[in-house]
Amino acid sequence: MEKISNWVLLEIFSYLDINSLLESRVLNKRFSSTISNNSLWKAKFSSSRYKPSTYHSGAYFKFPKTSEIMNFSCINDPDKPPTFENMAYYFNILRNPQRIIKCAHSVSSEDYTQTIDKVLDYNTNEFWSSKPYDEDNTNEFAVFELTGICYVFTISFKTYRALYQGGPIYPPKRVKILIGNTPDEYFFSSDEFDVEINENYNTILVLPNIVKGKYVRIDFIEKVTREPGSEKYYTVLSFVEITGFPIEIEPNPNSLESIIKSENLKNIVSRHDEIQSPFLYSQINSVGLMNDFLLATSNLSCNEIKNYFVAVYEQKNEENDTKVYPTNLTADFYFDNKDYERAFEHYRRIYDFYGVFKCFIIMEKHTELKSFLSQTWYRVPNYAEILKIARKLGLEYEQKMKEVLKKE
Amino acid sequence: MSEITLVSKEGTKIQISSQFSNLSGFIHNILQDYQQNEDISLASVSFINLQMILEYAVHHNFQVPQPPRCPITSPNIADNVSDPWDAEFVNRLNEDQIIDLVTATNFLDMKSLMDLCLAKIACMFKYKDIETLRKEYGITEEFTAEIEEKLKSDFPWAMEAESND
Repeated sequence: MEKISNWVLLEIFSYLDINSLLESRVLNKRFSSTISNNSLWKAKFSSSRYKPSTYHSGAYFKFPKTSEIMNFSCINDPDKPPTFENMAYYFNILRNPQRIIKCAHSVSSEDYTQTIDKVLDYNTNEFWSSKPYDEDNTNEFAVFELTGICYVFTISFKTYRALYQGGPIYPPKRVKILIGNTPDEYFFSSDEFDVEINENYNTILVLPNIVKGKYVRIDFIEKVTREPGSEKYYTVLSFVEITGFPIEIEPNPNSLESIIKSENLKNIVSRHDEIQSPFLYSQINSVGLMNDFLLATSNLSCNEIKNYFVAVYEQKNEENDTKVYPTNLTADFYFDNKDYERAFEHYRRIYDFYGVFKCFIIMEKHTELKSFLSQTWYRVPNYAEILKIARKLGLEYEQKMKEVLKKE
Repeated sequence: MSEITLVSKEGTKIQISSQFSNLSGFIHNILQDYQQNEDISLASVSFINLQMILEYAVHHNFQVPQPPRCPITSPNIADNVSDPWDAEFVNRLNEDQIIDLVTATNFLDMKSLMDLCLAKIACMFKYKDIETLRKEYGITEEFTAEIEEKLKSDFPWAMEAESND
């Protein structure tokens, strides 16, 4: 090892990922000083050997794996040069995302009782609703103030399901994120993303761009659903959350770690009464950072965690002597366990037509599928989307669907 | 196709196609004002290393191959290179030979082979805990227990076992 000169060591280190590098710091003084050397981190950024990240500017509509985010070659912040200290800072804040909404600032339109601040509390059944419109091409926006200037990582929101109306949900068609230091001027703008028509959290990722700001504006572009009866278009949300890290706070790398280590997963879950909507659950469900983190620390597989939540949920509902309330989670759970009849029933009850069609295709109920295609009161997948669903299930299903739909 | 003559540290002469300049920046620069039948002296490259370098160059037909994956994703070099021959080539060598080869390729400004060797050494580090590394490379512990503990607590997650996904 002594034979290796310093420049060779630097070159070797440029082939190692962050975890291996930070671990090797403990090995001896020479390794420690070489790894803390700023030229290594500068080289990591500028080296042509590093493949450019698959993530470009703008935000993303899904959460990548933590390991992907942690690939420092994709982090770009004009304010902080790539030194060891700055990188260490990023690693620590990325590992400790926090909820950073302070309050709702303003909104394009709201009802007298269904105001925008209703979406900040996940424990209530309340929601924000836009004004009614005759046309679906109307836009809405909501501005949120953050707790000081923050690094913004993700923006998630959940559309509201009006069970008392028979279960329609009122999502926007597309969504766009703006971040700025005042509520009127924004310097960061994401692309527009299609919103899924279900109750899952829609998560928009601002990372790996390092964006700082005090205000986040969410643009809800166009509308999808008409209210039964009045036939007016609405956008209705039940919950919004923004994760990130306040700029003034020094990150403590051990805080979340210690919580997870001191209490096991079961305790964390049981602390939250509402299994369907607590912050942690939403993070597990849709925010990959926390998801990966829990998976890594709890030694459970993703399916085991999912099953666990379903089991807890069902148990809870049996105690209350009610039937299992269908959610995307339960439907997916049954689907994964090949209980397609039950999965179909759950997908149907929550009006998730993508799931319904998935079940039709896998159960080969082609006549039922066609009968669904002819209805007009709710948006169902079109020809291309059905083929896409079938392709996800397997090539043989795609072939079969092509033949079935050709006969039409 | 013209040929050039390389002379190793020991004075042994080797004939090779001038296309070798595709792989070596050093040879490329020399060929700018090269006269026929002139010997090119490589004072820092031993005969054994020169043979290996030529074997590598001939296998890749004097074209620059795809670089290894960076950062490496597996402790097995075969998973990080596109050509399985490359993995076999570096796996034949022991650590000292690889480091010698790195020095030789650096002298020849031969980035492709140097990257392969560096990736191979990086693979030796990957997925090994600190105790194993210390034992393997005979590193005596230089840090006091407190400093080591502090270094570990800076990035607690880095010390955890990495998942293989």
